[in-house]
Amino acid sequence: MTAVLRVENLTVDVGNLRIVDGLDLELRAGERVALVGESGSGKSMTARALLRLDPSVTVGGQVWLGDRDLVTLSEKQMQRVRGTELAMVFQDPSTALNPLRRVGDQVAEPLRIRGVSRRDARRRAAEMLDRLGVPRAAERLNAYPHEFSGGMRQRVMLAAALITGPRVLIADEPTTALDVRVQEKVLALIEQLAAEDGIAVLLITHDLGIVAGFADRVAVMYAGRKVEENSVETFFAGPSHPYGRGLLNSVPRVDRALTERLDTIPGTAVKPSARPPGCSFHPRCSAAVSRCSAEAPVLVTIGSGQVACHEV
Amino acid sequence: MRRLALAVLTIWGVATAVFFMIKAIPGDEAQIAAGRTATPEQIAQARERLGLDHNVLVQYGDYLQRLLHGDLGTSVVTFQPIRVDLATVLPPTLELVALTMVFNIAIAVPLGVFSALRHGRSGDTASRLIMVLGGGVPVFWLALMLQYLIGSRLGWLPISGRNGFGLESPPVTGLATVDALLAGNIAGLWDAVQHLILPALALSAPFLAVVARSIRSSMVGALRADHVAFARAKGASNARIIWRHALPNALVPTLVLLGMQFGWMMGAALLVESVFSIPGVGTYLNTAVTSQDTYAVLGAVLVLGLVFVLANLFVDLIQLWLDPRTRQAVAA
Repeated sequence: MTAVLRVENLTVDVGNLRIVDGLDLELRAGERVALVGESGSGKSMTARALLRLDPSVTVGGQVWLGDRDLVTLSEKQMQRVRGTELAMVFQDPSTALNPLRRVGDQVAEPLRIRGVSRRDARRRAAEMLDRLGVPRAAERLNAYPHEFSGGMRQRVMLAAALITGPRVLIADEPTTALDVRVQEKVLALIEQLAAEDGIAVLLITHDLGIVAGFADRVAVMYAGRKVEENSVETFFAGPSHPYGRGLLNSVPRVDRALTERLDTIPGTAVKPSARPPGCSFHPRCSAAVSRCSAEAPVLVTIGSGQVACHEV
Repeated sequence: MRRLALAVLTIWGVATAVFFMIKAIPGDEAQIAAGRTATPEQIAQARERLGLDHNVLVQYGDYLQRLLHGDLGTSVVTFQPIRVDLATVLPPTLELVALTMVFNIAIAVPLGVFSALRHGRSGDTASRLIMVLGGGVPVFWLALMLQYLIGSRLGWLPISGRNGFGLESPPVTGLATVDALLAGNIAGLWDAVQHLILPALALSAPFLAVVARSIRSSMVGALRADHVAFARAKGASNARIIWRHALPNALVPTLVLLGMQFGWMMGAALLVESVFSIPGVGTYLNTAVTSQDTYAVLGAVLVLGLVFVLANLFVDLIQLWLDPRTRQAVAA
């Protein structure tokens, strides 16, 4: 399988602060990869950096989309990539849609930007909304976002992202703002459309509960670095990195007694401005040895996965 | 409908407040009305004619009653019905304020947008300096400076009045520009506009400072909005993001400000009217106050209040058109 998106040694700097530090990631055609981590781990910044969404942020390393390195493209060239080959949906559909513009126009916008006629763009917008299960899609093109429910708004956003038939969809916490039952539906829709159109999906989330049923592969980020990457099966069978284990143990499970206390990871996530020397996780790690505070572990391949820890 | 009721209530409130304020000013209105050299009999006559021999509440009741019939009373200075007076002084001010508003928007919006785009950089600092200067400079001083520099030294624009000699058009609406247009007097139209440029520019300064700041801050917010990031992710160009996705949203809060400013401009017009010798409402009101011409003051203030209320109603309508959320709230 060839990679549609290959990220090599990605760095993201905001001012003097290194938010993402040397991330490698690969997305193969049609594959679904979850990038998980706590708030502040740099996962959302990674997503935005891939599209170079924030002009004030410095992106380093290489982001290969096919044979082009997105980091070296000009802003104009990047505009042609965004929304056509590389699409993105955001966390909160109530703020990510413009309240003053009609839903149909917002869905059709990527086509209109590329010079598709108004009529054709509207027709395709209605088709796309219909595929995403928006009832009476053609009639509702003229509605405004506030007339839609949260789940429907997320479908509208997905429709706008997928209307051009991109190769890669980056979904930044696409279900976090939705209630649990709607979450399931939206994820199922993403899965279905991605499979039908052969779109690779990078799902950014902190919710391991949705990862198991959705992703093929999991990459775990901590303090701006990838600490583990594995197939979903291997990861959920038993993550290799102590942080991954901690994350998984802190997910509520139906097969455990209600009287048992939920495990937590001691301490709080480290800020990029106060990254400790050595392994960033060692102050919170129960398996830490003296070497962990002195030397940063490198990613090593174990089986089909990778892990950055001295103790494995 | 509720807005309309509120508007009527506002006007009534303004009328009442102004009425009692004027009555609280020391001095005998009958004495002033009858003139400096009037005999005691003449003063008594004037007192009776004006109804000043009744108690204040009765006077107030009489006034409201006449007001309902559209009778604003007679000026004790010009001896004309105040309605007629106002019909001649209102158009020059309206014309001035309209052009001031045009300058206000035409300068403040680009300035605010530019400042927001250069947020935190030197361009932003420079624009903000302009805003502070615009807001801080006294209007009459700026009017005098413009008059001196551009009008007198450079001779580019006329410095006073409304029309050059021989360029007046027959009055129909009282608006020098519109009358010139109606008369097909193109030279007169250009001349009337030229006469308005300097006063409107001077008057717009404090207002555009406020609008530019408002645009700047709401634009900074709008540019950070998620939906702008999403538009970017859809491949929108910077220009498209600014004009389609950020500016319309940033304009909504500023619109309310513009509506109120229209009313304030009518009042502030006095400052430039006196410098540029424009016979407008401000000048009229000033004269009326100093000569304790109760009903003239009331009439002028009421008209200003009315313009204020109408401008705000107009803005509400634009907002309804612009923002689907308020549209729905009103329909519900």
